[in-house]
This record gives sequence, structure tokens and C-alpha cells, in this order.
Amino acid sequence: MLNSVEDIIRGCRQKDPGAQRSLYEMFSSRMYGVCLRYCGSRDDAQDILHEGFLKIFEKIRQFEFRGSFEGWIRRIMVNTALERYRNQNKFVSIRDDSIEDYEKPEDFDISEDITAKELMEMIEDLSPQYRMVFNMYAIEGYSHKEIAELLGITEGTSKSNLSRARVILQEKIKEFYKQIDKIGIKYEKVGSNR
Amino acid sequence: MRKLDQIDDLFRSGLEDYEPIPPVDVWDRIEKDLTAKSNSRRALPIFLKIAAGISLLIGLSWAGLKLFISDDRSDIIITQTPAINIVEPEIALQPQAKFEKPSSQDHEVPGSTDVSHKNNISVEPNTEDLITGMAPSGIVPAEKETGSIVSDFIPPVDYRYEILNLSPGAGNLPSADLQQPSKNDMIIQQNLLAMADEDEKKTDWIIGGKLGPQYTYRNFDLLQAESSRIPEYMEKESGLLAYTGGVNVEADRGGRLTVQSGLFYSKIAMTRPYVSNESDYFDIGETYNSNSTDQLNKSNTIGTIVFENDLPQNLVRTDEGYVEPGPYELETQLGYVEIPFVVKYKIIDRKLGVNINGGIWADILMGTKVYKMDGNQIYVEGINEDMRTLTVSSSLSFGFTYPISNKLSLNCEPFFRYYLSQVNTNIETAVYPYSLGILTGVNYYF
Repeated sequence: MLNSVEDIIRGCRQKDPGAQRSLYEMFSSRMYGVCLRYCGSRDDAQDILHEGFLKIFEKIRQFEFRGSFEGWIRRIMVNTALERYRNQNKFVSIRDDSIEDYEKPEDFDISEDITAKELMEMIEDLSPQYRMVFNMYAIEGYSHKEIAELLGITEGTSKSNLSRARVILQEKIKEFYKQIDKIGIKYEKVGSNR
Repeated sequence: MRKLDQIDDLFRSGLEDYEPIPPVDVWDRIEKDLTAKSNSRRALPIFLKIAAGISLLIGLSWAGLKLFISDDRSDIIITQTPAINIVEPEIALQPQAKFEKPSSQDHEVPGSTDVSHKNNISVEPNTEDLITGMAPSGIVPAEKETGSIVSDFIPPVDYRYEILNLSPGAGNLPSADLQQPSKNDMIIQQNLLAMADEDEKKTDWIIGGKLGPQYTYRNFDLLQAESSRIPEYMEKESGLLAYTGGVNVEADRGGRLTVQSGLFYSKIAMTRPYVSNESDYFDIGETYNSNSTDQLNKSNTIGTIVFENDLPQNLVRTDEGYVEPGPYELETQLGYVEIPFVVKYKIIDRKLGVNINGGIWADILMGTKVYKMDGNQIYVEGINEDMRTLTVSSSLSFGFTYPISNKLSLNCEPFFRYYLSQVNTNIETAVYPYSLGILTGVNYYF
């Protein structure tokens, strides 16, 4: 499989259309998932996927077979999304609080029966700045210093936005479980009526 | 696991394998853009053809002029030797004079039976007359001999006609005596050589050298970059002073138009600040986790700057991210070898001559360099990628010429250059450099 990916990369370096198509088919779904996480709409996600793959094909000579190729592609997609959001949303800081001001999420139990699609919908509902910081910190593994540099905000704002995003997501999860419970009760009631 | 991170873990694990299928039209758009880009690259050979055509045109013009001049001179050289040895031509200039048949009483030669021979006037023409176009001095109008002339002489004779027809075997020349050229013959030779020189001077070949500073910057069109980036590019990048110079060759046929070519070298430069906390300049390949690639790239309007080392000098990666020691500038320099095809028109043809010049240049990229300018310290950091090898530019200039001797002149030429084709292959921007400068130099006239 590794040789196959290497062959595709080498083909892409030669601008081989077949190799480019293969690369797209291999990674487009995973990268589309990444794009959706960073975007508020599917149209935006598709634009970033489009722009990101063009960059990948353009810059693929820079990949030197060191480290993960998927990580390299993923970085391009994330950077493309960040660039787009910087230009579109201008990243106005909501707060620049100190760490002590964080609203810490309450502890609660989480079952594992939430689907990826439902989780994605919750992230999409976040405001752009919360969504970006949460994605970068919680899922991509960026440090607050790196997030601050990339988004042009302070580290304190990054931490504050992350905290707020967690609280909002926690509320959404609670709300989700409440809906599940209601649906379950309804089912029981319907069943008991029969 | 801490409860605080439960949300993070839930989303990380829940979305790890989330792989929705993108709509088909995304690939269609990508494929369309890739094809368009590929086609634009295929257009490069067209520029090569244009450059080759220009070079061929210059070469043929030069060869044609040389052949034209050498043909005249060869004719003269061939004919001048016999021309100095005319001994007894018949009526060499073929004057259209008709002499009345003399009466047999006045001119009958005893023993002669050839009437036509009697009508010929045997003279030895003064060879100076060949140059002046006058009738041979030996020909005496019939009036003096016979008392009347039926018609006039032909108009003055074109010397070239005579030169070309003075070769042996031309029909109207007698056999030549090659042993003793007369004084007049020597004069003819000198005159012919003088005329040949005169012909040659009709084309002045000029070779010169020029050198001068130029302020260089770039214009650009957005391709896929967001239009909101224009202010960023405009505010953060700036033009720089560079230089240009080379050798020029000109063919001056004596009119107002002159054609110039040559070989030049130009530096085009621009700069941008190296500021690490701006994400838009942290382009592709930047790393945050050490297990990924360690390549860090920046970009400018032209495209990606690739550093020779994994990380730029003095930039240190720590657990907290990159540490920047201080602000400095990244200067990109593009080096071009250039072949011009310039037409010059004299608008003032006096001692201080003034020309207006317009031309097309074939520009061949020799390389790019990116320097880090840290105060007085200069480091070579890498190259600017995404460049085209061959581009075409145009020029407009005013040339001021002042002679300092018969063979030398001083020149001063303020100019404006603009690149007609984009110099980069970046997918986000199309960059068109321009420059404004002054060339000064010396011309030598052959």
C-alpha cells in the first residue's frame, strides 16, 4: 500500500492526471470531513476541498517522503481553511480573559451512542471563532500559542474561546440526550398503548 | 481521564473516521482548473517560437545588410582594375550623337573602302570623363569638324553604370594593357574607392555598453487568492532598487530608424517582512508536531519561498511553537538574461540627439535567490519557487546621445519596462514585474 501511495505521489509530481485522480479518490472523503469541521456550510467546505487539492497538486514536489503524507495533506487543508476564515471573518476576538475566568464545563457522563454526523452538526452550530479554536486544539492538537499565532489572537483569547466552545458543546450534548430520552419515553408510551 | 477533556475525547474519537463523500462536481472543478493550468503551461513554447522568430529576424536582417554591402563592394573591386587600363576604346560612352556623313572630298582616306569605318571617330577618351559623366574630351562635335550636329549628347552618365560595364569582355571595352596605368587611371581608382567607402558609410554599425539602476516591483492579478488579500500584499511587500546592463548592437542606415539588439542581464527584486505570527504567511508545510514534516515555508505574491535548510536561520522550534529572534526582511531576487529587439526613432537629429525607443524583450530566468536581511547581515535562505523560465517584456525609453569623438558617443536612457507575460506559475496570483530606471553608457561607431 505504501508503494502504491508513493507511486501516486510520484505520478502527481509528473502532473499525471490519472495519479491526481487516484490521490483525490484516496483522500477526498477524509479531507472533506476535515473541511466540514472547520466550515459553517457545505458550500464553504467544498470550496476549501477544491482549493486545498489544487494546492496539494501544485506543491506536491515539496513533500520529501518524511513523515506522514496524510498529515501533510491534512495540514494543507487546515491552513487553507484558516486562511479563508481569516479573510472572511477577520477573527474579531470575543474575549481576552485570563485563565481564571474560564467557565469550566461540569462533569457528566457521556455514552458513546452519538453518531459522527450528529457531532458534526453540533460543531457546525458553533460560532466560527469557537469552532476554529476547538477544532485546532481538541482535534488537531495545536497548542494555544500556535493557535494564537495562526489566528492572530492572544493565547488568553484562544483559551477563553476553547472553554466557551466546550461549554456550548456540553450543553448541546445534554440537550441531545434529553431529546433521546423524550423519544425513548414516547416509544415506551406508544408501546404501552398497544 | 479528566472529565474536562471528555468533550474533546468524544469529538476526537467520534470524528476520527468521519469520511463523508464529497459531491462529484468538486473533482470536476479541480480537473477543469488543472487542465486550464496545464494548457497555460503548454503556451510556453509559443513564447519560445516568438523569441526564436525575433532572433531569426534579427539574424536575417543583419545577414541581409552585410550581403547587400558586400555585393556593391565586390562589383567595384572587380571592375576597377581593368578600368585603369583603357587604351583605345571605341566610343565607350555610346553617345547618341550622330555625325553627318562627311563628304568624301573632305575626309576620304586614300585606300579605304569601308564607309562605316570612315564614319567612326577614333578617339582616346579622357578617363576622367567617365567620372564626371561628360562626353569624352576626344570627341569633337561634328560642327567643328563637319560644321553641324544632328542631335545632342546623352545626359550625364551614372558612374555606377560605367563601373559595372568596364569589365573585360563587356563588349564595349577594348583589350586592356595591364602594364602601365596612367595618372588619370590612378585618379579613377581613388575616386572609386572613395565612392565605395561612401557606400559603406550608409550603414553604421554601433556596439555599446549600458549599465544602470532600476527600481523594480510587480503588478499582480488574483487567480484563486481572495481579493481581500490585496491590501495585505500591497502593505507588506515593497519594491527594491536593483540593476540592469548589457551590450547593445545597432545597425544605423542613416535614416531616422535604427534597430537594436544585444544581450542584457537584469535583476528584479522585492521584499517582504518575515513575521512569524501571521498565519497567512505560514504557508503549506508548516509543522506543529515533530512527527510530521519539518519543512517550513513562507510565501510572497510570487509564490512559495523554499528554504535551503529545514528551518530558516535563527528560527528555533520549541514546545511552545516557533521562536522568532527578531523582525527582518526576506528579499527575493530574480535574475534574467534578456535579448531585446528595439526600434529607435530619432526625433532630434543634432549634436545632442534624442531618440524614442520601443521594443520587445525575450527574458530567460537564470535563477532566484531569497536573502534574509537582518540589519547589516545578509544570509542566503533559499529560492522562490513557482517561476516561469521564459517570459516576454516590453520597453519604452528616451535615448539621449552626445558625441565625444568621431567614433564614440555618450548615452543616457531613462526607461520603463513591463512584463507582458506572468513570471510565476503560482495558482493564486499572476505576477507581472515592472521597472523604472536609467541606463548610461558608451557607443562605438565602426
